[in-house]
Amino acid sequence: MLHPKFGPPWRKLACRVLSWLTALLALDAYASETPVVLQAMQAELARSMEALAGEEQPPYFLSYEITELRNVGVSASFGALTSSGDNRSRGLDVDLRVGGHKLDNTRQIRGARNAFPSSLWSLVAAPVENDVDAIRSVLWRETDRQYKLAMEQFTNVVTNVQVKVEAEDQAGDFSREPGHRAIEEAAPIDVDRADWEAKVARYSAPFSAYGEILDASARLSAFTETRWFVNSDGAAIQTAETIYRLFISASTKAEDGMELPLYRDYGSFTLDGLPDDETVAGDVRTMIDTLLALREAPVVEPYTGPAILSGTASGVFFHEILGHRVEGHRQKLEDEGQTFKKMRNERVLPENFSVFFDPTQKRLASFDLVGSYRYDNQGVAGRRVAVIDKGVLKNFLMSRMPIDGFPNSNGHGRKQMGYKPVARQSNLIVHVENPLTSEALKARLISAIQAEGKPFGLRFVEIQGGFTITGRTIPNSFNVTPLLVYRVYPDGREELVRGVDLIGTPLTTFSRIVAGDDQIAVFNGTCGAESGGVPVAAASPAILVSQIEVQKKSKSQERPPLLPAPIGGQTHDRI
Amino acid sequence: MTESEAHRKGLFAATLGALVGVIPPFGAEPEGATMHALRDELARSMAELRMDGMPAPYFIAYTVVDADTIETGASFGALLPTTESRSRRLQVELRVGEPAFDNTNYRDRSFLPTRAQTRTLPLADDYQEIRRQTWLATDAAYKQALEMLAKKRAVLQNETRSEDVADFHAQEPSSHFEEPDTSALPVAEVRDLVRQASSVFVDMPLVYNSTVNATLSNRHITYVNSEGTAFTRSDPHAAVWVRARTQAEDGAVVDDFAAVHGRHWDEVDRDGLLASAREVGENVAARRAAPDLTRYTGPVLVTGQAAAELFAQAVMPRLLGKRAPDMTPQFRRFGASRNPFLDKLGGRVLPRLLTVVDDPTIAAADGFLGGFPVDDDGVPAAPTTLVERGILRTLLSTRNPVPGVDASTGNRRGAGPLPSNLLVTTARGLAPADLNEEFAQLVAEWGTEYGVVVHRLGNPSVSQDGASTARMIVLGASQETSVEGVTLAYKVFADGRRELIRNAEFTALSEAAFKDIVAVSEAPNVYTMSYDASDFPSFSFSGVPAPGTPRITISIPDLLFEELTLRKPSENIPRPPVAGHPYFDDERG
Repeated sequence: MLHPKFGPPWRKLACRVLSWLTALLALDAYASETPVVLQAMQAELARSMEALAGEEQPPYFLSYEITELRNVGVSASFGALTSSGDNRSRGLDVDLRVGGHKLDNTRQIRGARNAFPSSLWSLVAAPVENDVDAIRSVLWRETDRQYKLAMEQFTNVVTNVQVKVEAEDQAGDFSREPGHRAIEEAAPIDVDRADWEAKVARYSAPFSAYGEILDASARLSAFTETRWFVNSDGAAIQTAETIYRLFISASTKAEDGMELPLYRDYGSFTLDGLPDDETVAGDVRTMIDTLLALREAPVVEPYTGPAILSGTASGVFFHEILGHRVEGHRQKLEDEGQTFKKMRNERVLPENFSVFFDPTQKRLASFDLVGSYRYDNQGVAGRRVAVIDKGVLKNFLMSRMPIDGFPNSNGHGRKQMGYKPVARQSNLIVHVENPLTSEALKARLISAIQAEGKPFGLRFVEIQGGFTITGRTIPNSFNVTPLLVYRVYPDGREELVRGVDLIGTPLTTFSRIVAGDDQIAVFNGTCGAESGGVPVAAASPAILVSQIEVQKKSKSQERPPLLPAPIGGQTHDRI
Repeated sequence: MTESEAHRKGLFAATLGALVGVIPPFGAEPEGATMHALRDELARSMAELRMDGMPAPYFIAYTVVDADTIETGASFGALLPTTESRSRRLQVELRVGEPAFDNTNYRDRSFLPTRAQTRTLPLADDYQEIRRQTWLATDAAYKQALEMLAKKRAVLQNETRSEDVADFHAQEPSSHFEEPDTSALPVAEVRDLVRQASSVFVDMPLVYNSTVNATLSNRHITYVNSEGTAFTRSDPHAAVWVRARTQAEDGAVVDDFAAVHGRHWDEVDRDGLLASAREVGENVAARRAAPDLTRYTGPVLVTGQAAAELFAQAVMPRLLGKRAPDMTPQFRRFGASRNPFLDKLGGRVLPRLLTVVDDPTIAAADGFLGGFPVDDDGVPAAPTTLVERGILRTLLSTRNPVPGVDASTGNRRGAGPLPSNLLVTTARGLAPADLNEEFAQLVAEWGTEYGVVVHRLGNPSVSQDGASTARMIVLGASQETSVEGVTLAYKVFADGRRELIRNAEFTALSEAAFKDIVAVSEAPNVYTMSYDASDFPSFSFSGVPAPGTPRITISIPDLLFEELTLRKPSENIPRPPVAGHPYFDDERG
C-alpha cells in the first residue's frame, strides 16, 4: 500500500530554493530574447513558488501554459457565403501539484463515480495583449484557485490510497523530466479572405444544381496555435504552428431515409500546400457523381469475410484499434481495459508490420502530417516511438504519468486548451516491409474470397472516422464508419454499396491482418478524447484483413423532403 | 445611460401620455431577395405541403435574424479576446391541427422545448439559396409538427384537461417595414473604451479582479407568416458591463457591477462608463472593510438600482403569461410550476398606491430601451396596464394563450412574453425628505436600533464567478423567487448616522412582500437591464448577457417596505489568497 512520503521540511525547502536559484540565474542571461508572455509567466511562477513555499503543504510542481488560437475561417454553402471571420483568443492552463512525484493530488480516486479529482475542462481567458501586469494578474488568481483545489484533492487522494486495495500499477504520479528552453518563430496566417470567400463559394456551387443533395458546403480554416509554456523544472518554451484546412462536405438521403455524407479534407502547413482550383473542381465532380450513385446503391446486410482497407481507411483503423490502446494512462487506470499492458514483447501483428508514432516528422511522401510538434503540452520534446517493431509490441505513448516499466514521458502528453494532458497520439505511421502491389493485394483478396467460398469481399475506400471503447464496463470494441464501400466479386468486378459500419474487437481483428500494399495514404484529422481535440495524422498502406465484420449502420427514420427542391425559381429535381 | 444618470430621472404617471405613440414611420415592403424567397416558399408550402392522410399546415411563420455582433472585454487594462460574428439564421414556426388544439404547448420526455427548426442562410441576398434552405427547414418542421401533434393527442386521450385553453389566438394581419442598419460595428473604438475603463482598476489595489465587457449587435429581423403579417425590424444593441470583485481580510467575497446601455455604440455614455467603473471599484474597496449585517427584520427602504432589480427579480417573472406545456404524466413534476399570478387576476398583488404599465411605444431617445414597433409575432406594440392601483388586470402575453389571458398583448420577445418598458407609477409619491421621515418613523415604531436602506443589488445574468449563470439555468424552468445579494446598503440610525454593510441577502422574500410597501418616492428611477426569461438562457463564457439578449427598461420609485428580512450571506467564506496581487505587492507596490 502506498503512503505519502514527506521528507523533513527543511530539506524540502532547501531543495526547492536551490533549484529556483539555478533557474533564476539562467533566466537572467535569457531574458533579453525571451518573449514578453514567457517573461511574465516566469516571473509569476517564481513568485508563486516562493510565496507558497511557506505553506504547510507547498506545491512540488507548477506549470503555466498560455495558448493563443487564431482562426481565420470562411464558409459557403451551395455557392453562397455563409460565414467569414477572423478571431483570436488566449486561454490559460495551470498544473499545480502537491505531494510528490510518487503520490500527488492528480492520482485517480478509485471507486468514485468521477474518478479524477479535478474537473477535466475549465477555460480561463487570458489577455490577448502582451501586457505583463495583466497576464500576471490572471496567473496569480488561477494559481491561488488551483492551489486550494490541489490541497482539497490531495486530502481525498491520501485517504483513497489508504482505504482501497493496493493499486495494480505501482508507478508514481509524475515523471521527472528536464526543463527545455526553446523559442519557435511565430507562424503568421497568410490568407486573403476576400479571395477565399470567392473560392469557397465557387467550390460549393456545383452541388446547387442537384435537388437530391441536401447539404453542401466548403470551408477554409487557417488555424494558428501559439503556446507559451513554463514550469518549475525550468522549462520555458514558445511554439507556433499554422494548419490550413480545406473541408468540402455534401450529403444526400436515400429513399429509405439513410443519410449519405461524403467529405474531402485537405490539410497542409502552408496555403500553397492546398490543392489548386482544378483539382478541387474535379474532386467536387466526383463527389456529386458518387453521392448520386450512393442513393441508388444496394444496402449490405451484416457480413463477415475478407476485406481490403484503403490506406486512409487503414490509418483510421489503426488509430482506433491500436493507437488508443497504447496510450500510456490506459495501462494504468483501474477502469481501463488495458488490452496491451501485459503483451509487451509479444507478437500482435505480422512480422513485416511495424507501427510507430512520430511527432518529429512533418511530411511523408507528398503529404504534410498535422500530428507533428516539437514539444508536447507538458514541455517534453516529442519523440519517435516504435510501438510495434516487426510485429512485436515494444512501447507505449507516454505523458508524464508513469506506468510500471515506463518511468518517463516520450513527449505525447497532449491536450486541447482548457483540458488536462494525457497520453495521446501524434503521427501514426504503419510501415510494411516487402509490400505487395495494389493489384497483387486485390488478387490476394479474390483468392481469399474463393478459398472461403464467400459470394463477395469488401473494399473500404473512404472512412468518416470512428470510435473505440477501451474501458472494462462495456465490451472492448471499435466501430469505424465508412463512407465509401465496394463489394468485390470473385471475378474482380466491384459494386458500390452502402449502409454498413466496420466493427470488431481489437485482438481478434489484429490477428487477421494479412498483408499491405506499397501505396502510402495519409489521413489528417482531429482526435477527440478525454483531453479534448488534438490534430493527428495516420499514414498507412492499404491492408488485407482475412476476416472483418460489418453491422448495419444506424439510420435516420426521416423521409426525404416531400416537395421537390425549389431550384431556379421553379420546382424540379435537377436543372 | 448610466444608472447614476438615470437615477431620479423625472417621469410621472401624469406625463406618460407625452411619451406614448412615438413609432418609427412605416416604410414600404423591401424588395430584397430574402422577403421574396420567404413569401414564395411560404405560398408553395401552404398550397402543396402535405402527407397522405395527415393534416396540412394551418399556419407557417418564417423569421430570419441577420446579426452582426461583437463581444470583447478587458481586464487590468489589457484586452481580452474579441469575438466578431456575422450570421443569418432562419427559424420556422409551423402549426398543424387547429388553433384550439395543435402541435404546440407540448413537451415530451426530453424535457427540452420542441426543437425549433433553424437553418443557416447565406449572408448575401441569394434568392435561390434562401429558398432551398427554407424548403428544407419547412419540410423538417412539418414532419416534426405531425409527430408532436400525434404524441400530444396520445397523452391527452386518457385525460380531461383541467383548463382547456386554446393553443393559438387569432390576430389581425399587420405590416411594418424598417430599413436595415448596414453600418459597420466600430470594433477599434469599442476595444479602446473597454481598455480605458478597465485601466481604472490599475489604481485600485484593494480590487483583486475586474473585467469590462462590451457587446454590440446589429440585428435585422425579417418576418412573414401565412396570415398576411410581414415585418422587418432593426434591433441595434450596445452595452458595456463593469464587474469588480475582491476578498476581505477574512476572505469574504465582495463584488459589484454596473452596466451602461445604448441602442447604438455612439449612444453609450463614455464618461458615464468611466465614472461607473470608478464607483464600482470604490464600492468594493469600501465594503471590504465594512461589517456584515448579522440579521435584520424590520423596515427597509429600497432605492435606485435596487428598487428596479428587486422588482425585476421578485415580481416581474409573475407578470409574464407563460404557458405551462402539456407533458406525459410521469414527467409532469419536472415541468414549470404554475405561476401564482394566473389565479390572482382581478386580485390585489401590490399596494393600492402602485400601478404597473408595460409600454413598448416609448421612444428610445428618452432613455427607454425596451421598446419596439411590433413584437416577434408581428403584433403591433401597444401599452398594457398590468396592475391598476394594486389590482392585477392582466399578464403580458403572446399569441399563445394562458388561462384568463386569451389575446396577445404584443409582448412576444424570443420564445415567450417579456416586458418592454415597465413603468411602476404612483399618484401618491413622497418627496425625498418626506420619504426619509416616513422611514425614520417606521423604524422608531418597530423599535429597532437602526433601519436598513438598500441601494444596489446583484443581477442574475451578470456572473461574478459563473455560479449565478449556473443557478439561472437550473432555476430557469421553475417559478421560484430568487433574489441576488445586496451590493450596497447602509444601516441608518436614529441620529442620521449611516454605517456601510459589507454583504447581505434577502431571505424568505416573495412577491407577496410587495403588498407591504407603505410608501414610495415621487421621482422614479429609470434603469435598463438585459433579461433572458427563456427556460434555457443563452450561455456566455464572458459571464455577461450574450449580444442581443432582450432589454427591459424599468421606471420605478424608491420603495419603503414595512418589513423585510436580511441576513449575512449563507455561503461559507473562502480563504483569502495566499500571495498578494502581483502588481500591487511587487516592488512598485
